[in-house]
Amino acid sequence: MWHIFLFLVLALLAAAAFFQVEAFLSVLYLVVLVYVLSRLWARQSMRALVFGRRIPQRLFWGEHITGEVWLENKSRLPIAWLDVHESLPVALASGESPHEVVSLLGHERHTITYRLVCRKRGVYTIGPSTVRLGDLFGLVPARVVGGDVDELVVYPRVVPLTQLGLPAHAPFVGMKNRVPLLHDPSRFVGVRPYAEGDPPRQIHWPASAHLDELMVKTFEPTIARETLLVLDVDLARYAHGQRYTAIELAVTATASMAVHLVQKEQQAVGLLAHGIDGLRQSRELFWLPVQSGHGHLVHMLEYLARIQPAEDVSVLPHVRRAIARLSWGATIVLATGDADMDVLSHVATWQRQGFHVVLVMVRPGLSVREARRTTDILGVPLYVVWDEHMFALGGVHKP
Amino acid sequence: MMTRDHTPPETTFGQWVFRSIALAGMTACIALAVALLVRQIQPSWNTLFLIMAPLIATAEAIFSHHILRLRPQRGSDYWRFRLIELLVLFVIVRLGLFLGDAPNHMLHELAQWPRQPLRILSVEMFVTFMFTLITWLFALDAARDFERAGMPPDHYQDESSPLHSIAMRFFWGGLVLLFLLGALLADARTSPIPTSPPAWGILAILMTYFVFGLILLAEVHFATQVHMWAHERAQMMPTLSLRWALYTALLLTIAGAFALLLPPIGTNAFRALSDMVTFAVELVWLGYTILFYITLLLLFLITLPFAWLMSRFAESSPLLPEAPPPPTAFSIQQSGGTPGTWFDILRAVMFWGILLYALSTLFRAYLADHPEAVGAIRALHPIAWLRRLWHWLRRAASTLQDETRRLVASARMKSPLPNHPLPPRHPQRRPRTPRERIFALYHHALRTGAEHGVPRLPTQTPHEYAHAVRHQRPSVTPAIETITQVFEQARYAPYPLDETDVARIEAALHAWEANLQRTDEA
Repeated sequence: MWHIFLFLVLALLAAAAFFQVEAFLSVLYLVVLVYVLSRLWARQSMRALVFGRRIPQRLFWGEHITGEVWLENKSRLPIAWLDVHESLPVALASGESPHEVVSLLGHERHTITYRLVCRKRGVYTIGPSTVRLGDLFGLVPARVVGGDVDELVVYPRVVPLTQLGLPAHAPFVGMKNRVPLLHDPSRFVGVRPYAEGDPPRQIHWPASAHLDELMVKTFEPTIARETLLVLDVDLARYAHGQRYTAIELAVTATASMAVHLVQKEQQAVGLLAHGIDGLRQSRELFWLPVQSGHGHLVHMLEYLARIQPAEDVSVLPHVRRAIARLSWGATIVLATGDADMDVLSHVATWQRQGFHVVLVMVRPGLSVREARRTTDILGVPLYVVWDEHMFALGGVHKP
Repeated sequence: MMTRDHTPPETTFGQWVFRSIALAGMTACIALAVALLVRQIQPSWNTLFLIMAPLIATAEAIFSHHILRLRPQRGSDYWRFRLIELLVLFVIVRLGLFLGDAPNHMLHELAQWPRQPLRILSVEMFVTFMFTLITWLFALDAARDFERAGMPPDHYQDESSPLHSIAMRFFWGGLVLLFLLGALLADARTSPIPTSPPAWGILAILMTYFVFGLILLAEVHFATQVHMWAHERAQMMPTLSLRWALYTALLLTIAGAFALLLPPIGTNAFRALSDMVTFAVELVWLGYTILFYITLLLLFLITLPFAWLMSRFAESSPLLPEAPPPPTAFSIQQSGGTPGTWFDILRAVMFWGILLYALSTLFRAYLADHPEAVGAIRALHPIAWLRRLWHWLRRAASTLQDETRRLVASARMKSPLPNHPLPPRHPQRRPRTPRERIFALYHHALRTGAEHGVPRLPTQTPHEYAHAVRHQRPSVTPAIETITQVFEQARYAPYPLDETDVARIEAALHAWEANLQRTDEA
C-alpha cells in the first residue's frame, strides 16, 4: 500500500506548490510523518526483538514435556504487535501448534508455552519460530523473521523383555562351554582344587598354602559375553499390511534387549542396522562396535531413534564386516520380520563361524513354521515377538 | 491470559458505528469544501443542504447495505430496492433544497410547479443530487469493504483487499478535497470580494479528513488482521485492540503536532519547487491547447471537401423548398391564449394528486423494504402516542358506525332493539378442517412476523423465510422451524392431519409471538 501513499505525498506536494497553501503543506507533513514514523517503528521493533526457544534435546518415549518460546523487547519503545508461530511436528504436538499475537511494552518479556507428548520415536525438527510484525496502518509490509531450528531425539520405547515374550534371564549371554578351550588370564574369577592335567603355572600358591591343598586359579573363559544386535528394517522382510508397526516393534525389541544387556547383564553390546537416517534423510549403515557402559547405550538408543525403514536395505550383507571384530563365541541377535532362505543361510554361516546366534522374528507371516523347523535343525534359538504386551503368547523357546 | 476463539469474529455493531462516523466525518469534510466553493461561485444556492445531503446519502447507503445483508435480494428485487432508494433520495434532495428558505418563497415555488413541472429539476437540484448520488455510491462501496474486512481472507482472493480499496478511496477523496480547496483559494485570490474561509478553517477541514482517514485505515487494518489471525486459529492478547487504538492515537498526535510545528511555505527550496510545479502545469496546459487546436485544424481539413461539395450542391439544386415566411403577429394570436382560472385549478389538483399519490406509493414501498426504519420510527415516543391516538380514533369510529347501523336497522323494523351484536361487515369463512386451520395459523404467524420487522418476501419459500428468520432472530428459531414444518406437512403431505398438529403449531405460534415481543423489547 506504500505506493498509494507515495502518490498521495506527490499529489500533496504538487498541490501545495501549485496553490501555495500552507495548510496543504501541513497535511503533507502529517502524511509523510505517519509513514516515516510507522516505518521506523517497525524497523526498530524488529531490531529490539529477541526471541528463542527452550526445550530438552533428548527424550524418552512416552515423556510429556513443556516447551517454551520466549520473546523479549530490548528497547524502551513498545512493539505494537507480534504474530508468533512455532512449528511443531505433528507426531509430537499436543493440540495445535502455538500461534499467538501479542504486544510488548518496553523491556517486556513474554513466554509462550506448549506441551509435547513423545508418542513416537524419531528425530524431530522443532521450529523454526516465525515472528511477523508490522505497523498499525498497513503502510509497511509486515516483516517475517525465522528463528533457529532445534533437533529433538525421542528414544525408542523400552519395555521389560518379559512383555515381549523374551526370557529375562540373560538369554543372549555367550555359549556356556563346560570345558573352555582358552582362558583369559586377565579375568581372574577364583580358585578351585587341583585336577590332573592342570598346568602348574595356574597353581595359586598362597591359597594352596592357606588351605593346605593344591588350588588352581580359574579364569573367565575367552568366549566373550559380547552381543551384537542386528536389526533388519528392510520393508520387504515384514508382513504386508503391518510393516511399519512391525518394524517399530522390532526397534522396540532391539532397544529393550540393549538396555537389558547393558544395564542388567553388564555386557558389551554392539549394534548393526541399515536404513534411512531420519536426521540426514539418506541411506546409512548404523554400526556401533561392541562396547559397554551407559554412554554407549545412549549412543545406541540414539541410532535406534534415527533409523527409518526403507525398501532394499537388507542388513545381512553388512554383518560379515561387523562380526570380523567380534570375539569368538559372541552372540549375534538378529531381529527381523521373516526368516527366508537368505536369512537362514546367513544364520547357519554365523553359527559355523563360532558365534551363538539368536533369531527374533517380529510378527512373522506363515513362514514361521518353516523357519522354526530349520532353526531346530540348526540349534538356533528362535523367539517370536507379537506384541509389546502379549508376554503370555510371546516367543516359544525350543532349545 | 490469551483468548483462543476459533470462530472468526463478525463485524460488531460498535465497529459499524465507528466506521460510519469516520466515513461520515470524511464525507462532511468534502461536502464542506464543495459548499464553500459553491457559496463562492453561486451564493444563491442552498449550501446548508449541500453539506447535509452527502451525510444523509452516506447514512442511507450503510443502512441499506445492512438491510441487504440481513435479507439478501437478487435479480429484479434487488434493482427495485435500489431504484426506490434512489427515488427517495431524489425526493429528499428536492425537499431539502427548501431548507432555510422563507415560507413565502417556498409556497411561491411550489405554486409554480403545476404550471412549469421542469422547475423541479433545477440546476441546483441536479448538482446537489449528482453530488449526493456520487457520495451514495462511494459509501456503498465503503460499506461493502467494511463488510469484507470482517470476512476470512479467502473470501476475497480474486479481489483487492478491503484495506487496499479503502486506502484507494481515501486517496481519491483526498485528491478531490485538495482540488476543491485549492480551487476555492485560487478563486478567492482573484475575486474582488474577499470571501475565502480563514486559513485555520482550511487546515481544520484538511486535518479532519486525513486524521479520520488514517484512523479508519488503522481500524480496518486491525480488523483484517484479527480476522486473519482468527482464521489461522491464533491466540490473541485481550488488550491488543486497546493497545492498537492507543498507539494509533499516540502516533497521530505526535505526527500531527510535528506537522503543525514544522516550517510552512517560505523557504527558498519550496519557492523553487513551487515555480517548477507552476511551470510544469503551464507547460501541460500549453501542450493541451496546442493539441486542441491541431485537432480542430485536422477536423477542418477533413470536412473541407465535404463542405465544398455541399456548397456546390446547394447552389445548383432547383428542388430545394423555399424558406417558410416568418411568423406574423396574427398567427401568434391564433395559436395561444391564457387559459382560465378553472384550468389552473384543475391542473394544480391533478398535478398535486398525482405527485402525492406517487410520493405516498414510493414511501410506502421504501418503508416496506426498510422495516427496521419503521420499527425505529414507531419506537419514538411522539409517534407511538400518535399511533395509539389513531388506533383509538379508529376503534371509536368503528364502534360509532356499528351503533348507528344497529339503531337505523332497529328503527326501520320498528321493533325493540336486539340484544345480540350485528354480524361483521365482511364475514369470513372460519377454517374447519385441521389443514385449513394450520394454513390460517401460518398466515397469522407471517402477519405477526411482518409486524415485528421480519416480513416474508414474495420471492421467499417458507423454508427460505425460516432460514432468514434464523439469521436475523436466532432466539425465535425453534418456533419458526416448528411452524414451517407443520405448514409444509399441511401443504404437501398427502395424509390427513389431526388436532395434534394444530396443537403443535398453536404452541409454536404462542412461542413465536412471545419471543418476537421479547426481542423487540430487548
